[in-house]
Amino acid sequence: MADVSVLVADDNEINRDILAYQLKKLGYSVLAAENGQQVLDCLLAQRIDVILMDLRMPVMDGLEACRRIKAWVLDGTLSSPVPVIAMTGSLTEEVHAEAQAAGVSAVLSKPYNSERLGGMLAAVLNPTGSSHE
Amino acid sequence: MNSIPPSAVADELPLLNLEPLRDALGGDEAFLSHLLERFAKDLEQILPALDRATFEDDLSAARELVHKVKGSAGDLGAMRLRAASQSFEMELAQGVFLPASLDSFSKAVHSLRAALDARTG
Repeated sequence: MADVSVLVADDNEINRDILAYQLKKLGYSVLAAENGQQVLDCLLAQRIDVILMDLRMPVMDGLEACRRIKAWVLDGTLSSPVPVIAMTGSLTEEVHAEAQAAGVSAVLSKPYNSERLGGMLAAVLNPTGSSHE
Repeated sequence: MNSIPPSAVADELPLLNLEPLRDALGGDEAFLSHLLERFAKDLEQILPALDRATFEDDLSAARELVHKVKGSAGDLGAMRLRAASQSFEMELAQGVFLPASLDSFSKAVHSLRAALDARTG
Protein backbone atom coordinates (compact mmCIF):
# COMPACT_ATOMS: atom_id res chain seq x y z
CA MET A 1 0.00 0.00 0.00
CA ALA A 2 3.07 2.26 0.14
CA ASP A 3 2.34 3.24 -3.46
CA VAL A 4 -0.91 4.89 -2.32
CA SER A 5 -0.18 8.54 -1.51
CA VAL A 6 -2.25 10.13 1.24
CA LEU A 7 -2.03 13.89 1.71
CA VAL A 8 -2.73 14.95 5.30
CA ALA A 9 -3.89 18.57 5.54
CA ASP A 10 -4.10 19.99 9.04
CA ASP A 11 -2.74 23.20 10.51
CA ASN A 12 -2.05 21.46 13.80
CA GLU A 13 1.35 19.76 13.80
CA ILE A 14 0.52 17.31 16.61
CA ASN A 15 -2.68 16.23 14.84
CA ARG A 16 -0.76 15.78 11.56
CA ASP A 17 1.84 13.66 13.31
CA ILE A 18 -0.76 11.40 14.94
CA LEU A 19 -2.48 10.87 11.63
CA ALA A 20 0.78 10.31 9.76
CA TYR A 21 1.79 7.74 12.37
CA GLN A 22 -1.48 5.85 11.91
CA LEU A 23 -1.32 6.01 8.12
CA LYS A 24 2.26 4.74 7.97
CA LYS A 25 1.30 1.86 10.25
CA LEU A 26 -1.50 1.08 7.80
CA GLY A 27 1.08 1.03 5.02
CA TYR A 28 0.31 4.27 3.21
CA SER A 29 2.78 6.78 1.85
CA VAL A 30 2.15 10.11 3.62
CA LEU A 31 2.56 13.74 2.56
CA ALA A 32 1.62 16.76 4.66
CA ALA A 33 0.11 20.19 4.12
CA GLU A 34 -0.67 22.95 6.62
CA ASN A 35 -3.53 24.64 4.76
CA GLY A 36 -5.77 24.42 1.72
CA GLN A 37 -3.41 26.41 -0.48
CA GLN A 38 -0.62 23.93 0.17
CA VAL A 39 -3.03 21.14 -0.75
CA LEU A 40 -3.67 22.75 -4.13
CA ASP A 41 0.05 23.34 -4.70
CA CYS A 42 0.74 19.72 -3.84
CA LEU A 43 -1.94 18.44 -6.22
CA LEU A 44 -0.35 20.32 -9.11
CA ALA A 45 3.12 19.05 -8.24
CA GLN A 46 2.60 15.33 -7.70
CA ARG A 47 0.20 12.41 -7.74
CA ILE A 48 -2.07 12.27 -4.71
CA ASP A 49 -4.50 9.37 -4.33
CA VAL A 50 -6.57 10.65 -1.43
CA ILE A 51 -6.64 13.70 0.84
CA LEU A 52 -7.44 13.75 4.56
CA MET A 53 -8.45 17.34 5.19
CA ASP A 54 -9.16 19.33 8.32
CA LEU A 55 -12.05 21.67 7.61
CA ARG A 56 -10.80 24.71 9.49
CA MET A 57 -7.33 25.92 8.54
CA PRO A 58 -5.74 29.35 8.08
CA VAL A 59 -4.87 30.81 4.64
CA MET A 60 -7.43 28.57 2.91
CA ASP A 61 -9.84 26.32 4.77
CA GLY A 62 -10.68 22.76 3.83
CA LEU A 63 -14.07 23.49 2.30
CA GLU A 64 -12.66 26.15 -0.03
CA ALA A 65 -9.87 23.80 -1.08
CA CYS A 66 -12.49 21.12 -1.85
CA ARG A 67 -14.51 23.55 -3.97
CA ARG A 68 -11.41 24.44 -5.98
CA ILE A 69 -10.46 20.80 -6.45
CA LYS A 70 -13.98 20.11 -7.72
CA ALA A 71 -13.66 23.05 -10.15
CA TRP A 72 -10.27 21.79 -11.32
CA VAL A 73 -11.76 18.42 -12.17
CA LEU A 74 -14.53 20.12 -14.17
CA ASP A 75 -12.18 22.43 -16.09
CA GLY A 76 -9.62 19.69 -16.74
CA THR A 77 -6.81 21.09 -14.56
CA LEU A 78 -6.93 17.72 -12.81
CA SER A 79 -7.33 14.72 -15.06
CA SER A 80 -9.32 12.74 -12.49
CA PRO A 81 -11.12 13.42 -9.19
CA VAL A 82 -9.10 13.09 -5.97
CA PRO A 83 -11.25 11.82 -3.11
CA VAL A 84 -11.26 13.98 0.01
CA ILE A 85 -12.03 12.76 3.50
CA ALA A 86 -12.90 15.66 5.77
CA MET A 87 -11.91 15.39 9.42
CA THR A 88 -13.82 17.15 12.14
CA GLY A 89 -14.12 17.07 15.90
CA SER A 90 -17.65 18.44 15.83
CA LEU A 91 -19.73 16.72 13.18
CA THR A 92 -23.15 18.32 12.79
CA GLU A 93 -25.72 17.96 10.02
CA GLU A 94 -24.77 21.44 8.86
CA VAL A 95 -21.07 20.56 8.63
CA HIS A 96 -21.94 17.35 6.82
CA ALA A 97 -24.13 19.16 4.30
CA GLU A 98 -21.50 21.86 3.70
CA ALA A 99 -18.83 19.24 3.19
CA GLN A 100 -20.95 17.29 0.73
CA ALA A 101 -21.76 20.43 -1.24
CA ALA A 102 -18.05 21.28 -1.43
CA GLY A 103 -17.30 17.88 -2.94
CA VAL A 104 -16.06 15.94 0.08
CA SER A 105 -16.25 12.17 -0.43
CA ALA A 106 -16.62 11.22 3.24
CA VAL A 107 -16.50 12.76 6.70
CA LEU A 108 -14.45 11.23 9.49
CA SER A 109 -15.46 12.39 12.94
CA LYS A 110 -12.98 12.37 15.80
CA PRO A 111 -11.96 10.43 17.75
CA TYR A 112 -11.14 7.58 15.42
CA ASN A 113 -8.84 4.61 15.67
CA SER A 114 -6.73 3.02 12.95
CA GLU A 115 -9.45 0.50 12.16
CA ARG A 116 -12.02 3.19 11.36
CA LEU A 117 -9.44 5.25 9.51
CA GLY A 118 -8.31 2.30 7.43
CA GLY A 119 -11.89 1.26 6.71
CA MET A 120 -12.83 4.69 5.49
CA LEU A 121 -9.75 4.98 3.29
CA ALA A 122 -10.47 1.60 1.76
CA ALA A 123 -14.08 2.61 1.10
CA VAL A 124 -13.09 5.88 -0.53
CA LEU A 125 -10.32 4.37 -2.63
CA ASN A 126 -12.62 1.56 -3.73
CA PRO A 127 -16.04 3.24 -3.82
CA THR A 128 -18.36 0.32 -4.33
CA GLY A 129 -20.46 1.00 -1.23
CA SER A 130 -21.49 3.91 0.97
CA SER A 131 -18.56 6.02 2.13
CA HIS A 132 -20.31 8.44 4.48
CA GLU A 133 -20.51 7.75 8.20
CA MET B 1 -34.32 28.22 33.85
CA ASN B 2 -30.74 28.97 34.83
CA SER B 3 -28.18 28.04 32.19
CA ILE B 4 -24.99 26.29 33.26
CA PRO B 5 -21.87 28.26 32.32
CA PRO B 6 -19.59 26.36 29.91
CA SER B 7 -16.72 26.61 32.40
CA ALA B 8 -18.78 24.70 34.97
CA VAL B 9 -19.43 21.96 32.42
CA ALA B 10 -15.74 21.86 31.50
CA ASP B 11 -14.78 21.49 35.17
CA GLU B 12 -16.78 18.24 35.33
CA LEU B 13 -14.76 16.60 32.56
CA PRO B 14 -11.66 14.47 33.12
CA LEU B 15 -8.40 16.36 32.74
CA LEU B 16 -6.84 13.69 30.60
CA ASN B 17 -8.34 10.59 29.03
CA LEU B 18 -5.56 8.87 27.13
CA GLU B 19 -7.45 5.76 26.10
CA PRO B 20 -8.66 6.95 22.66
CA LEU B 21 -5.14 8.16 21.79
CA ARG B 22 -3.62 4.95 23.10
CA ASP B 23 -6.09 3.06 20.91
CA ALA B 24 -5.27 5.26 17.91
CA LEU B 25 -1.55 4.61 18.36
CA GLY B 26 -1.98 0.90 18.87
CA GLY B 27 -0.50 1.10 22.38
CA ASP B 28 2.79 2.79 21.38
CA GLU B 29 3.54 4.35 24.78
CA ALA B 30 6.82 5.94 23.68
CA PHE B 31 5.16 7.89 20.88
CA LEU B 32 2.27 8.79 23.16
CA SER B 33 4.68 10.22 25.74
CA HIS B 34 6.55 12.09 23.01
CA LEU B 35 3.29 13.73 21.88
CA LEU B 36 2.35 14.72 25.43
CA GLU B 37 5.78 16.24 26.03
CA ARG B 38 5.46 18.30 22.85
CA PHE B 39 2.02 19.48 23.89
CA ALA B 40 3.34 20.43 27.35
CA LYS B 41 5.98 22.59 25.63
CA ASP B 42 3.32 24.23 23.45
CA LEU B 43 1.28 25.00 26.55
CA GLU B 44 4.23 26.86 28.09
CA GLN B 45 3.88 29.44 25.32
CA ILE B 46 0.14 29.71 24.98
CA LEU B 47 -0.87 31.94 27.90
CA PRO B 48 1.74 34.70 27.31
CA ALA B 49 0.85 34.66 23.60
CA LEU B 50 -2.85 34.85 24.40
CA ASP B 51 -2.29 37.70 26.86
CA ARG B 52 -0.46 39.62 24.13
CA ALA B 53 -3.20 39.01 21.57
CA THR B 54 -6.03 40.05 23.90
CA PHE B 55 -4.06 43.06 25.22
CA GLU B 56 -3.68 44.20 21.59
CA ASP B 57 -7.36 43.45 21.00
CA ASP B 58 -6.36 41.06 18.22
CA LEU B 59 -9.23 38.60 18.67
CA SER B 60 -8.46 36.89 15.36
CA ALA B 61 -4.96 36.00 16.57
CA ALA B 62 -6.39 34.94 19.93
CA ARG B 63 -8.88 32.70 18.16
CA GLU B 64 -6.14 31.04 16.10
CA LEU B 65 -4.13 30.32 19.26
CA VAL B 66 -7.13 28.84 21.05
CA HIS B 67 -8.14 26.86 17.96
CA LYS B 68 -4.70 25.26 17.83
CA VAL B 69 -4.89 24.27 21.49
CA LYS B 70 -8.40 22.89 20.97
CA GLY B 71 -7.18 20.66 18.13
CA SER B 72 -4.27 19.24 20.06
CA ALA B 73 -6.28 18.89 23.27
CA GLY B 74 -9.01 17.01 21.41
CA ASP B 75 -6.66 14.53 19.77
CA LEU B 76 -4.65 13.97 22.93
CA GLY B 77 -7.66 13.46 25.20
CA ALA B 78 -7.29 16.64 27.26
CA MET B 79 -11.04 16.86 27.60
CA ARG B 80 -11.35 19.71 30.09
CA LEU B 81 -9.01 21.95 28.11
CA ARG B 82 -10.75 21.04 24.87
CA ALA B 83 -14.13 22.06 26.31
CA ALA B 84 -12.73 25.33 27.69
CA SER B 85 -11.07 26.01 24.31
CA GLN B 86 -14.22 25.27 22.37
CA SER B 87 -16.42 27.76 24.22
CA PHE B 88 -13.66 30.38 24.29
CA GLU B 89 -13.01 29.98 20.55
CA MET B 90 -16.71 30.35 19.77
CA GLU B 91 -16.86 33.63 21.68
CA LEU B 92 -13.72 34.95 20.00
CA ALA B 93 -15.10 33.96 16.58
CA GLN B 94 -18.10 36.17 17.33
CA GLY B 95 -15.79 39.05 18.25
CA VAL B 96 -16.50 38.70 21.95
CA PHE B 97 -13.76 38.58 24.57
CA LEU B 98 -14.86 37.67 28.07
CA PRO B 99 -12.11 37.77 30.72
CA ALA B 100 -13.99 35.03 32.60
CA SER B 101 -13.49 32.72 29.61
CA LEU B 102 -9.79 33.50 29.55
CA ASP B 103 -9.69 32.66 33.27
CA SER B 104 -11.42 29.31 32.66
CA PHE B 105 -9.09 28.56 29.77
CA SER B 106 -6.02 29.52 31.85
CA LYS B 107 -7.23 27.36 34.72
CA ALA B 108 -7.62 24.38 32.38
CA VAL B 109 -4.13 24.98 30.95
CA HIS B 110 -2.56 25.15 34.43
CA SER B 111 -4.37 22.01 35.62
CA LEU B 112 -3.30 20.08 32.55
CA ARG B 113 0.29 21.26 32.78
CA ALA B 114 0.39 20.08 36.39
CA ALA B 115 -1.03 16.69 35.35
CA LEU B 116 1.49 16.36 32.52
CA ASP B 117 4.36 17.36 34.82
CA ALA B 118 3.22 14.76 37.36
CA ARG B 119 3.07 12.14 34.62
CA THR B 120 6.67 12.72 33.55
CA GLY B 121 7.81 12.99 37.15
